[in-house]
This record gives sequence, structure tokens and C-alpha cells, in this order.
Amino acid sequence: MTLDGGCSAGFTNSLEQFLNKYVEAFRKTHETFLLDDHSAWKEKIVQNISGVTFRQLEVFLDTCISRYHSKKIEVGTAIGIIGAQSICEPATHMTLKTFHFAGVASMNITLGVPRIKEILDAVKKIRTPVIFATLECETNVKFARLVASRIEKTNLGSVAESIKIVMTTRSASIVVTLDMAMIQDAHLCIDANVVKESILQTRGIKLKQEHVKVLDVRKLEVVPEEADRSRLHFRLHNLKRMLPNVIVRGINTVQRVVINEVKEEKEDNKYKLLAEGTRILAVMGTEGIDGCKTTSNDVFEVQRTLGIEAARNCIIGEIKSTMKSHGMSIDDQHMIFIGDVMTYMGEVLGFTRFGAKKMEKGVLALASFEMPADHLFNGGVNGRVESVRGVSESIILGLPIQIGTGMFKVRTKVSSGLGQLTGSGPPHSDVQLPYGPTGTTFPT
Amino acid sequence: MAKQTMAFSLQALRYRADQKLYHLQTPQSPIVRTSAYKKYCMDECPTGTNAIIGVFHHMKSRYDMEDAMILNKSSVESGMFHGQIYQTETVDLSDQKSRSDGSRKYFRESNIESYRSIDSDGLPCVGQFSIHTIKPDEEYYSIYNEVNNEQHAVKQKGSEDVIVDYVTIDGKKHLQNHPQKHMFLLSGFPLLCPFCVAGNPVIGDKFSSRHGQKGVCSQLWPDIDMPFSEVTGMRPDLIINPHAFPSRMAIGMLLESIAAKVHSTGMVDQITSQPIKGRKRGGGICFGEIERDSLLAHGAAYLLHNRLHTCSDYHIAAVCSTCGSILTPSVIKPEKRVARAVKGLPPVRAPKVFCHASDTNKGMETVAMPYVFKYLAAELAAMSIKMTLQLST
Repeated sequence: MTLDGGCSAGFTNSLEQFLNKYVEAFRKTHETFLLDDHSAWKEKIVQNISGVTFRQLEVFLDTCISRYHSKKIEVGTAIGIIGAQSICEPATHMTLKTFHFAGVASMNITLGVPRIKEILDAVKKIRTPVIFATLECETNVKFARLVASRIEKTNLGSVAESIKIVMTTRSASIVVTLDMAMIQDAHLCIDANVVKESILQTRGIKLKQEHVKVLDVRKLEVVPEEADRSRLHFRLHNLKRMLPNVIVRGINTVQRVVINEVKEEKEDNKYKLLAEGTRILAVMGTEGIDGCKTTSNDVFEVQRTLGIEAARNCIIGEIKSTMKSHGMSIDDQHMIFIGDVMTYMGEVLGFTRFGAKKMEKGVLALASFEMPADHLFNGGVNGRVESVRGVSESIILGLPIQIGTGMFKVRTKVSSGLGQLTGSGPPHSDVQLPYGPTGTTFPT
Repeated sequence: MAKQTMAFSLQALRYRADQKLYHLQTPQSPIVRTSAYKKYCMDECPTGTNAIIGVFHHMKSRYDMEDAMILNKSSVESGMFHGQIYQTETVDLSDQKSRSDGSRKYFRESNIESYRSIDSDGLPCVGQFSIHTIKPDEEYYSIYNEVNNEQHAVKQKGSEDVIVDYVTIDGKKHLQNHPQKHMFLLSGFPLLCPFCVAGNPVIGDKFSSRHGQKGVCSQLWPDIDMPFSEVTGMRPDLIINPHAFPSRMAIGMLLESIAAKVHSTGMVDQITSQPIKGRKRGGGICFGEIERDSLLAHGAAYLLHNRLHTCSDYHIAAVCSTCGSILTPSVIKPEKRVARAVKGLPPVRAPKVFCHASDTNKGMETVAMPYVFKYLAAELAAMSIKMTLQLST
């Protein structure tokens, strides 16, 4: 046993930090009490308040170190299957109810078994993607609303008072009038110029600068150019139908933003924004949002924007929170392992036939999972060589599996020459073969 | 050892009065038998009982050292190893000194005192446990001496409670029709009373397996305190110390223990050579993917290998090391075999294996594989997919 008890540096550090707290407390009490004189009875009081005896410390450290060692698992343990069982057994206790009010005001987040399935299958489009945004100023409600309005998708239809087709003898146009009162109320900074820009940027509407005229702050006129007068009517009505859907403010993939109030005891209430939707990059770039503390529950979104390591953390965090919301706690190691397996190839791969293929499993393993004919045929066409390393292949070929007790082989010493047979003298062999259980060899 | 141990040594037990006989109450046919067992028809005289044995050192009791064994108290009280010892008491009234002084003795009940175990004819009561048990130092027959008019009751000399199995005369056949048979019976012929001492094993009794693993019962351990197996909750009847095995090298005992577990032979599927499904047809229980996962989680690689390969469709196939094919090697039948078989001579030699693809019979290796893998190779070949094995040396 080494000096540090055979424990890792991280463990030792965290233990030290923990014990330092006690040291600090003791020092503080000492200072408070013995500021003036150092009498014996005062010392005793200080010790009673925040002292730690030698025996206490000994027992505590012993317990910590023995617990640490009991957590170590042996080489060859089947962590894959144990991890799978550890996660899925509690999952059977979760009800299959999909939509579960997650405790946030009127927010529907997928929880339970369907959520676990989404995470493990690495589904590209999840049912309820949510972006958790942190504000730069967390304690101001008005600020929160302001920023929320910047993110939430607002269409022209909801801010316009009227969108009317105006036909005169000389021209026909659509006049859009904005409801300024409502805009002020909602703290949106929208005026006719903003609307003009938005209309021009909308993909479906093919209009140019000269077709949209700003009349004043709240009015603008859209004049479509149409040579053929017979089709003008159709064009106007088409525009009238499309104009309300023009997004004037916010990110077009964010449907709704909810301001979540987190009640704290000693401090002011904190406000967080929860945006239902995707495109975390746009949210991070919005003014008023602290981009460094913004995250999402959509793994693919996180991988696209923040990278594969962040995606790994997202997977682990998501599984953790899903389990926690049902009151079940699983050792972190299992979830960390799953995160590792899903991301070790550089992209997020799910436990499906698509993911398994990209994880470069052997032909027989893939064939025994799903779609055997395809994989066998492709294997034949491409001349694949199966190196029998995994569990499925070993079972198909009738070999003992290479985990657990099958992880090592035993070699025996082979005697050479007649000297051995007649029993005269020790065997002379140039090659030193390891033999017995102490000499282990890993199968190639 | 049939007569020297608790066994079922005679079938004519009821009609014989041997000096001392041991009899096991519940003899059983052993689960594991040798071929000699059948040959000698030992089932007719079984010599023991099957027991569930735990081979471990019982930490709690520490009574299993130096070949001692711990018995399960409840098993014993339920009748395991229960046996009887038959001892015959012979009473011969004629060979006492009476011949010379002319006294005549015969069995007669005393009219002065009445003893519990003596019947109306002066002989002991035959019988049931607790009603007619004869305790040590209890009178069990009484003699009347005609000459002196003496009534004399004789006490049981043993140290245990006995029951009288039956009372009979030990006589010669030709004297049965003698008119004075009655008198001869009374005075001349010895009387036989086989006593039966029944009992459960006690501490100190010696037990043995068929492999020379003998040991003395050191403790009767209550069933509720016995260690139990994880899955079935089964508790052993007998605990034996594992130290009894290494130096004695009682391999037979270990083999018997393993062989006594349930066999996995039965009907197999025609195509895949794997055990079939279905209770009616004597099929096996499915060991499916989930069960495979459970064994994997334990890391029990060889147990899994045993379940899915050795006890299923274990097959030794010939593989050509040149082309790697499983399907092309075929056995050539030497023509002379038939002629030699007719003459009663042993076959020539191991049949030669020839590979059609590589056109050679050299380099044929035998590989153990599941039979169904060979079938898979055949199916793939039918779909024009070639599957070959690369053998490593």
C-alpha cells in the first residue's frame, strides 16, 4: 500500500479540501474565543465546538479509503452489460407516460422511458428541444422579458393591427398597419423599417426594395410588381396570405420562450429563459444572453454548435436528469460510460443499426443484431475479414468470450528433448515460456 | 460393507434372526452409478442414501475439522439416515445347571407381580414403540422353576430402549410333530427375541461416501442456521470440509458430484442439432438472449460457453487449412472396411478426409464449433457467399 493509500490524486485532493474546511472552522473559532487570553478552559470550549480528535480522523480516513477501494472493479468485468442493466432496470420502474409537467410553468418536456430512448438512439429531431439560456442580468424581470422578446419568434400577424388590400384606380397594394400599443407593451422594438427588412428577407416572398414603401413609423405599403393585370389579384391575395407569417423578431426556430423563476433563499429570485426550439447558436448570440452558460437538451444541437465533448457531457447530463426526475439515482460511471461509447468515433452514434454500423462492429455482430441478410451480403461483396473479438462473434463460432473469466488464457510449459522423458536433469529450453496462472497473455 | 454398515443387507430380514444386523430405514438408489452397479443388481440391496452435500468450511460452527461432518438437524429429524440395529437375544432354558439337579424351568408369568413388558405367557410383549418399549434394566421375561417354586424375572442388559420385533423358537424341524413339543419348547429349545434399536444419527456416528471419505458426525446443525444457495434456497444435508479432498485426491467424488447434477441430453433438432423446444417432447428450457446477458454480466465466460456450445450443438468439424473451407472436406470411406468388419477385425484406421476444393488430404485440421455454424456456412454458400476460416497455429 502506497503512502496515499493507493488512491487517486483527485480523491486525495477532494479529501484534503474537505478536511481543510474543518481546519478553517477550528481556526476561526480559536480566533474568536481566544482573542485576548489563552486560558485552559477556553481551549477546551474551542475544542468542543469545532475540534476533531485523532481517533475521529483515523476512523474517517479509514472509512473513506476502504470505500474507495471497494469501488474499484477488476480487469475483465463486463461493464458494458452491467451498465446497460443498471440503467434499464430502473427504467422499467418509470411509467411510460410521455408528457410530464417538468415543474416548469406550462412547459412540456419529454421525460421517462421515451426520453431515454431518444437519447440512446441519438435521435436527430427530438420531440421537445429546449434551450436553457442564462441572462446577463439574472435578477431583473423586465430585462428578462426584453431578452425573451428578442428570442421568441414573432410574426407580423401578431403585431399588425391590420393588413389590408387597398385598391385604387391607379394602383393596388397591401397596407400593413402596426399595433404600436401592443408592441410597446411587449417591449418589442419593432417599427415599420424592421418589418420592411423582415419582409424582404423572407424566402417565400419575392419582393425587392422598391416594392416595399415605408409610409410612417407604423405603416407600410407593399406594392407588388405585376405586368399581367389579370394575375395581379391573385398575387395580392397570395401576399396577403403570406405576410402574417413573416417573422419580424426573434429566431425562427424558437416557438416559445418561458421565463423561469428560480426561488433562492437568501438571494434574490433568479430568472432563467427556457426557449422551446433549436438553433442554440442564434440564442447564444442574442444580446442580453450569457452565451457561455447557455445549453440545450438536444444532443445533436449541442454537437453541431459546441462540439463532440460537449455532446458527451450533454448525453450524460440528460440521462442523469431524466433519472433524477423520477427519483432514481444511478452511479455516474454507467452514464459516463454510455456517453463515451456513443461519442468515441467523433460523432454522436446511437444504439441502432445505423450507429452500430458506424461503430465498426464485425460482420457477424451486425448480422446478429439487425438485418442479417444485408450485412452478410455486403460482407461477402466487400471481402470482409471477421476478427473474432466481440461477444456475439465468439458465441457464433463456439469460442469462449473474451471478457470476464475468458480474458486470459493459460499456457503450459512444454518440455523438449529426451532428457525429460528419462528424467535425467532439468529440461533445457532456450525459450522461456510463461506458464501457470501468473503468466497471462491477451488473445490477439 | 452391506452387513457392517447401515444398509439393506438382506431381503429375508423378517425371517432371520442374525446375531446383529444393521438396517437403513430409507435406502435409496444412487443418482450416479457405475456400470458395475447394474451388473451386480445392487438396486436389490441398496447400501445408502443420497444427500445434498455442501463442500465448504462452515465458518460459524467450526465443527468440521479433521474429517468431521456437520449434519442438518432437521433432515435427521425428518428421518434421513434413520436406521435400526437388530440384535437377537437367545434364551436357552435347557443349558443351565438344572439338568443335573433335575430342576425344570419354563416361562410363566408371575402371579405375584405383573411387569409392564411381560406378556401373559411370561414372554416379552412384541411390539410398538412407546407402548412396549423395554427400557434398560427392565424385566422382559420371567421363568418359573418348578423344583424350587421360584419365580424369576430377567432384566434387559442393554443400555438402550429396545422393542421386541418378534419371538420365535429356534428348533429343528423334525421335532415339530413330537408329542412333547410343548415341553421341549419350554425347556429345551432356545428362544429368540430379536431386539430392534431404532434411532436417528447422533453425534459420534460415523458416515462415509462411496469414495472413502469417512467422517464422524460432529454436530447437528439446525436447518434455519444452515447456509443456503442464492437462487433456490436449498440447504445442504451434510457439510464436509474441503480439506478432505486435495491430499486424498478423491476425484471420483468430485466427478460424482458434478455428474449428479441434471443432465442436458435429450432430443435435438434435425437441422441445427440443438435441443428442441417443448415439454411434451422432452425438450430443453430456452436459454435466451436475456439469460446470456445475465451470465455475461457475471463474467462467467466458461459457463456461458458450456451452456451455449458444449451442452448444445457441440460438433467437431474438419477444416481444410489450405482453403479454409468447412464445407468441402469430406470423408473418404475406405473400401476394405466392410470386409474386415465381417471377419470381426477392428477397423483399418481413422477415415481419411479429403478436400475437394484444394484437391488434397493434407492439412486437414479438426476444429470444435457449433454445428449450426456449419449449417450457416451451407446456407451462405447457397446464396453464393463464401465463408472461410483462417486457422492460427
